Amino acid sequence: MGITKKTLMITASAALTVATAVPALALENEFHGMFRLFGAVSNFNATDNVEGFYVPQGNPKDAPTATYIAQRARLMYIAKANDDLKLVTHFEIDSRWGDAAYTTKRNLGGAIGADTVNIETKSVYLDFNCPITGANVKVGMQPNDDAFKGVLFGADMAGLLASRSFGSLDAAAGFFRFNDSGLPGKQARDMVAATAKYAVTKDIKVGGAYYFIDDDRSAANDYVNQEQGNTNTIHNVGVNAEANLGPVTVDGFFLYQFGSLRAPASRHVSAFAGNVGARGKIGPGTARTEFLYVSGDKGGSNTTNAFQSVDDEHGFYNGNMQLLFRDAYAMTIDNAVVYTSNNQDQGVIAGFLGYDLPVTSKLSTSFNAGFAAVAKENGNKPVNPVTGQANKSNYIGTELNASVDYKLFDNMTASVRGAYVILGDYFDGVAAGGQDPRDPYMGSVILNYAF
Amino acid sequence: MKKLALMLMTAVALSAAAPAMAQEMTKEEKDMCLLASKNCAGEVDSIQKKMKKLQAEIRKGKKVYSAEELKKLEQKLKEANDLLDALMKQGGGK
Repeated sequence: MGITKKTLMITASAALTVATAVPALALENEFHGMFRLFGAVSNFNATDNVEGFYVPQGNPKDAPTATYIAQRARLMYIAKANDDLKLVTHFEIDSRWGDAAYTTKRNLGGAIGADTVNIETKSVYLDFNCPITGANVKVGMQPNDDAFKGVLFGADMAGLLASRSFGSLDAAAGFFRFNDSGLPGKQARDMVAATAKYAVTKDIKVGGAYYFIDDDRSAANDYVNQEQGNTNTIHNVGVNAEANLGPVTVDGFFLYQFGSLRAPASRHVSAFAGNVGARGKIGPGTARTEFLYVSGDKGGSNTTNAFQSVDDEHGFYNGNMQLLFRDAYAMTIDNAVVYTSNNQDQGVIAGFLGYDLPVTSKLSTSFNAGFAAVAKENGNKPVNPVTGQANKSNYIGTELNASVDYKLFDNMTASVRGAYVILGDYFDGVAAGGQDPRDPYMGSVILNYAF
Repeated sequence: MKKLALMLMTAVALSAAAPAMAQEMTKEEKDMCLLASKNCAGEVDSIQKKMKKLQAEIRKGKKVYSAEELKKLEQKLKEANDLLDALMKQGGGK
């Protein structure tokens, strides 16, 4: 057999080998994604802040009405080797129409010409069931939410989370690195997490969680008007529960924090957050209610009672608010009267009422009201620029909102929403010239497609 | 020998092409993939469709599935729910 014949034989054999090997190498490729368009007419986001707290103090009482349109796409690719092993990747591209073009920055690329390098990586993690321990392991940059309705943290974070069921008990433990600045591994902010949930009966579940957050960054941080030391240590211990009581479902949590904010703050931490929520069928729709208390601090003592939420990497969205608390649909523009649970070390006392009313299989409506006050006043309370005095009242405001959702397709919904906040006396006379800031409002139209 | 090799290669090529040929329409049939994006080869389920299918299978219960299989289906439904949550999750400007 000559070289040519040999080569042909080898090639043919190799081709056959590859052809028969393909099924064993087969991957299940999963693509998912979403697209959201958010158009708003508002005098709320027209303050100087694109992200953060509502800041009427010192600004003209009539914040100008602004109209903007933002869009966001998310793309998820999952490479699934089998039921026990997959790689999850998740990307995001978002911009505000008209913002900038021909540039290289996230959240931009909405101006004429586009051509912007703006793809963000949200998650990249391996998800596998360990054949030795039987635990599910997620390792890499992954989404992770606290067990307390988002008052502490809820964000993408790098780490390892192992979870396993033991009959009626679901347990999980993990390590996450929030930040690592300077010399790698020397100035990090880490979290150790342990959670458990036990199904007492089919309808009653109780759980507990411990999160230890150690901040050794000794550097500028991302906290928003929240007193911090250069290094900080916080222990978070909490319980949660959920019960289906016939037509009503009740859930809630209590979370206690202790630890220390070191120099220059040099304060011990003793803070808490508590919540009770209920929802149930009333008439043709579903009624919802939530109560939230987050402790605050007035300052001037060795111990702070200010609840230590993680930067602005969290949010309490159960009240379905659009302006008073962070809006679940906010994208590149995201501000709120109560922007973080810490609420500028003041904490918050809030109550929410809601009613979801389906009209047809495609049309549904939702009505919500929210009431909020700061738990403790402190130096972050806005002052009258003329008198230099803050108001006695701690009442922040009342939000009334409504939305109408129409299902255009199985996986696409169009929504029209309106929200209005009646500002409380907390904000009286804090606008320029000692005037009362005009009540904030927002009308919005949203298109949501997910696949 | 050369002929044998060529025949083998042809066989491999044909075996790879076979699934594509199976999808082809007869001359009289409408191509619904081109016409209405339906019944396309390689069509995959949206996450909502996948969840509906899982829910339908779970409803069949123990008449069709063993307890272990039902648990697995429920786990897959939870995973699909978590994926949809991750896609729709708020996140503001972050």
